[in-house]
Amino acid sequence: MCERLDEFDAIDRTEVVVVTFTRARNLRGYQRRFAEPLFVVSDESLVLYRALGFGRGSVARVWGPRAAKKYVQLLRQGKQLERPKNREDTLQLGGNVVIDAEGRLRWIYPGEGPDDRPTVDMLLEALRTPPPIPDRTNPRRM
Amino acid sequence: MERLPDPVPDRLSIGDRFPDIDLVDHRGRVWNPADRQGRPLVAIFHRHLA
Repeated sequence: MCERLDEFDAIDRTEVVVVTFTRARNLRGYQRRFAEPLFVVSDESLVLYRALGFGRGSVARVWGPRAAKKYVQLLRQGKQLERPKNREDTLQLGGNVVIDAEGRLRWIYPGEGPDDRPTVDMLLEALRTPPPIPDRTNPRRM
Repeated sequence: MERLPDPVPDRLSIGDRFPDIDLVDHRGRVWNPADRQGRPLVAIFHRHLA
C-alpha cells in the first residue's frame, strides 16, 4: 500500500488515512509501529466501525491456527508478545471505505476475517469508478 | 458560530454523506473527514493489532 501512495494522490489528490480504535494517547506510537507514513486517527468509541457494519470475528477465526503460527514466528524472532491494552476488543474486525470528493460514501468493504482486505487495485478501481445513478424509488439504495 | 458535528447514524450506506465527526489524529489534533477540501478519501479501518 505505502509503495503505491502516489497512485492514490494521482486521483484528485486522494487522501489515505488509517482509522483505529486504540486510545488517542497511544496513537503516536501506534502510527510509528503499524502505519507510518500514513496518517492515523482514532475512533475510540467504535461509532464509525458500527455505523459501517464492521463486525466482530469469531474466536476461532481471529485466534485460530494462522494467528498461532504468526505468534510462534514472532517469538522465534525474539519479539515480546503484549497483552491487549485497555481491554481493546481483539475480535473487532476492520474494513475499508472510499469517500468521494463530495463527502459521500462511494464504496464499503467490510472485512469478513482478520486477514480479509481489499487489494490496492480494488481500492484504486473504486476511486476511478463513477458513482452509481441513485435509485429514486429507494433513497437508501444506489 | 461554532460548528456542531453531525450525529453519526446507526448505519451508513453507499451514497450517504460521511458524518461530520471530530476524531483525534496521531499528532493529538482534531481531524474531521469533512475538512478535506474536495479530496476523495480512502479510510483503512484497522482491526485490533495485538
